[in-house]
Amino acid sequence: MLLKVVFIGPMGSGKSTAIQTISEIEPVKTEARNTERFKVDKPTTTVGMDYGEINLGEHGKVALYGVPGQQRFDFMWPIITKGAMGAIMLLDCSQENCWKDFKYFVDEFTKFVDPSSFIVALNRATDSDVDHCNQLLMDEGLTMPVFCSDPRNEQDLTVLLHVLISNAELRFLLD
Amino acid sequence: MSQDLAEQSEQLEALLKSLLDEYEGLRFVVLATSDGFLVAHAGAQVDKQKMDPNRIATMAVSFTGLSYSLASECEIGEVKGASVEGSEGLLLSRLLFTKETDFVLLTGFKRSVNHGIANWTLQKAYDAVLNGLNT
Amino acid sequence: MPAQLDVIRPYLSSNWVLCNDDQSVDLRIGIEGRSKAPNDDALNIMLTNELRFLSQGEFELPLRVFTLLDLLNYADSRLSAEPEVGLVSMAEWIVGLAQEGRGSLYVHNNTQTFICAQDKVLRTNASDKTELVELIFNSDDADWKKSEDVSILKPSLELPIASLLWSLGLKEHRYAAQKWNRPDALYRLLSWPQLGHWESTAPMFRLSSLYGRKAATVKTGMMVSGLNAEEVCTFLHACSVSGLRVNVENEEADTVTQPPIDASLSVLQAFKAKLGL
Repeated sequence: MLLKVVFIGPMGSGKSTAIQTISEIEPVKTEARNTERFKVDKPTTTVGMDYGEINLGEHGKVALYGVPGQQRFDFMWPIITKGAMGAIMLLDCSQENCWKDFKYFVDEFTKFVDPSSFIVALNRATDSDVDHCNQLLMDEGLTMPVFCSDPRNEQDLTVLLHVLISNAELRFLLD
Repeated sequence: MSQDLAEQSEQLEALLKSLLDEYEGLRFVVLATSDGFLVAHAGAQVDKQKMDPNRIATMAVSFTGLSYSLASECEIGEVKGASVEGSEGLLLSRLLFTKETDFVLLTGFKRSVNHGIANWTLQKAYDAVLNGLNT
Repeated sequence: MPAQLDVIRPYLSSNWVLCNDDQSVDLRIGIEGRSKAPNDDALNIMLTNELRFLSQGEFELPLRVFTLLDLLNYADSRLSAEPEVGLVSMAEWIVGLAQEGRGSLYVHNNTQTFICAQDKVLRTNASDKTELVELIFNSDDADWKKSEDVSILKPSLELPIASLLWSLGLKEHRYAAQKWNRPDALYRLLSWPQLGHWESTAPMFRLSSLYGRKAATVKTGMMVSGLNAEEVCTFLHACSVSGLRVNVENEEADTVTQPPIDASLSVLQAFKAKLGL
């Protein structure tokens, strides 16, 4: 059986890094030279998708997908998120416009992913950022788990995956 | 997209238009940066009103990127290009490298064009665009 | 019932006597959903046939003879216990201090430990968070004297107040059970605790998922987490004092639609095992 987890978020938020951190296979990447270094200073950017795996032995595997973060790649988003057990939205709080991006991604991805399967992972965040994020969600009438999370830190990512599992288990228990 | 490229795009658009005139069965040509920005196009808007060159440029980049990753996973060696075969025509794309920027060139062909002609035309378009970018 | 009572009488901690409806009683046993709560001070225990996980103080229908024994001894312990009215929450006291916003200084009578809560930070001369949480938990507000002597304010530690309150709230079981264990109340969590960063256990993930998703009773919390009522209440209390909003709502309805999930519990278990959870 295949479980699918999708990492979403704007360019430079750490999606590829997160998949690299927890994948047990060498991730498949579709990287291209980044011409928007004035926006996010990194040499390459994902243009198709990232893909990694966690092997569950006889039970199957967990497929980890990363979407390209720029709005112009929005046609890839429903393709990649289809059938996902949950989405982890990464956000780098040190980026300009991060809250605008946050709102945009919440609005867009709740079209494809059940909001109760959403997790927000804030990188380079303070407690105030977490509070602000929760307030923005409340303003939208949404409740989502919001965590401070470093995409290079396996422990942080394990917490996020644990939340996704809890959400999924709950559906079995309540249905 | 850099300032230089923006300035160059008019010349490149003229070049792409000339390719449409020169090669029979070539429906449209789109040139995009490898991270999905439209640089120039010809024929992509005229043919069908619904076609958005910006969107096609970005999709071509994802498609080509995935094709290269797929080729690498399947160990089929150096990739020449990627193709999509439809009942009404053929799409061929290719990555194009310059010193400053990488590009994706997408060409669309009419139903009447076979694979051999399409590949030959793509190669001609590739050479012309590469030359245009380097001058 | 009288015959059953005679059978278990040697094992009872008090001499229980059956009474008529019109008599004043210490204990009234009813059936959940069918019996009305009495208008007197009697201890009221409702029997249920719906629970999947029974916690202390809950008993299942049909009432078998040894369950009756447990029930009466439980009731005895409740009735003879010290009255709970004087219970205070030190976590709520700290919340109050932080909300004053003036950064008032409080010194502990015996240890000379001071705390200064302001906005989101608590400054203290305690050596670590665990020590401070223990000290506060084992004291009451009378043990802390307000001080104007700001010269002693040389803090060795600055703690995020939400994290401290979370730890403190998790220790206040008795207060939480008293405050939050309302059988008919539906609780809804408007934001999630920082599980992983704050101390957390696997059932807390489930409880956060539940109360973050929908308004639900303590009983539903027990069902999904496998915890008892007091532990569920303690979780809600810790959420509340650490600044996460816990609403009391009227309707137990999902706030979101739930598309079917293409997985099985065994796969999720395997995933958890893989993550070492």
